[in-house]
Amino acid sequence: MKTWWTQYRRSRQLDEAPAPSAGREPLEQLDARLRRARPATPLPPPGLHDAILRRVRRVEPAREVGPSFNPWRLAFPALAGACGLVVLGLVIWPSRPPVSPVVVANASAWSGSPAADPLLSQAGTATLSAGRRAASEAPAAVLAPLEREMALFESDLRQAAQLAMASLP
Amino acid sequence: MTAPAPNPTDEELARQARAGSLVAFDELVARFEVRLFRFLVQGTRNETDAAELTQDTLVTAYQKLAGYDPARSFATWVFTIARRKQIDFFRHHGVRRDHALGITADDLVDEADPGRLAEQAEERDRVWDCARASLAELPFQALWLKYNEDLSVEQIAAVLGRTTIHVKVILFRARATLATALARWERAADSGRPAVPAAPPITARRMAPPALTL
Repeated sequence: MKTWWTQYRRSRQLDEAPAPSAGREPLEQLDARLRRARPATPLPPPGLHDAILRRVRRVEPAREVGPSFNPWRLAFPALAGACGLVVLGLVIWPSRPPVSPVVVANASAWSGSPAADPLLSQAGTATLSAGRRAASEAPAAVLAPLEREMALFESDLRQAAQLAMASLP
Repeated sequence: MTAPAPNPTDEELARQARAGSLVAFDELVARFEVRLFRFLVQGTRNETDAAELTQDTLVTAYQKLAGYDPARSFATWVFTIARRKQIDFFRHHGVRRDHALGITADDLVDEADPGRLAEQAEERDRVWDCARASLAELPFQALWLKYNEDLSVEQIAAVLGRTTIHVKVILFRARATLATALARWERAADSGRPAVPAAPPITARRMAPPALTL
C-alpha cells in the first residue's frame, strides 16, 4: 500500500523533472517548443456562436436551489443513534428490577390473554398493590430508623442527667 | 452605482450570467467557443462533431450555472463538461480513437512534396502533429490543456478526473514519449526521407464507421 510519504516523494521527483535519457530532446526544449508551436486546427464554423445563443435563449437555466436532500447524509447519524441505543440497552439491562419468581413460574404456564389466567392476574394485582404500598410507606420507612435513634439518644441524655443529679452532694 | 469592470474575469461573467445576464453569457461563449472547439476537434477529428459538442457543452454549462461555484475556475469547469460530453459521444458513436503510445517506423509516412513540407515546417512546428500521432487520448488531452490552455496540474486533474500525482505522471510520460517520437522523426528527416507521423486527418464531415472485414 502506498503511503502518503511515498506519494509525496514521487510527486517531488516529478516536479524536479529528472534529466532525460540520452538521445531524447531535453524536456526544457520540448516545453518551449510545445508552448511556441501553433497546432494546426480548423476554426469553428462561422454560425456556431449564433447557434449556441439561439439554443441558450430557448432553454431555461436551472434556478439556484438550496442543498438537495441526500439520504446518505442520514447514514452517520442513524448509525450513531443505533450505537447509542445499543449502549443504553447494555447499561439499562443489568440494572433492571429482578423478575418475581412467582411471575416467572406463572409465565411459563401462561397461555392466552392475561385476563383469562387468574394466577397471572393475581400476581399482577399483588405487584401493583405492593408497589402502591411501597410508595406510600417509603417516607416512613426511611424516617423510622432515625426516630428510633433519636428516642434512644434522648433517653440516654435523660439518664445521664439523672445520674449527674444523683451524684451531686 | 459602480461601473462594470472593463475586462471582467470568466468567473465574474459566470456570476453575472448566473444572475440572469445573457450578455455576460454571450461574452463567455465568445471567449470559450474557439478554445473548446479546438480541444474537441483533436479528439473527434471531425469538425461537425466538434461543433455539435461545443454547442452541447456551452448549453449544458448555461443550464447548470446554478451549480457552478464562482470561487473555482470557470475554464476548469467548462472543460470538464466538454470532456464528459466527448466521452459520451465516443460511447454512443463508438468511434473512439486510441493510438498506440509509441510510433514505429511504419507509422512514419512520406510527404508527397518535400518542398511543401519544408515550407510548412517553417510556418509552424509539427510537434503537435507528432503528439497527436504518437500519444493516446488521455496524455494528449493532458498535454493540450497544459500547453495550449495554460491550465495548472490541479486544474488538469479536475478536468480529467485524476489525481494531481497521476496527472504529473501522465505529463512526464507523454513528454518522454513525444521526445522519442520527435527524435525519430527528425532523424528520418535528416537522412533525406522527409516523414511525419500519420495522424488521422481532421475531416469536415462525419466519417462512416470502418467496414468489418472477416
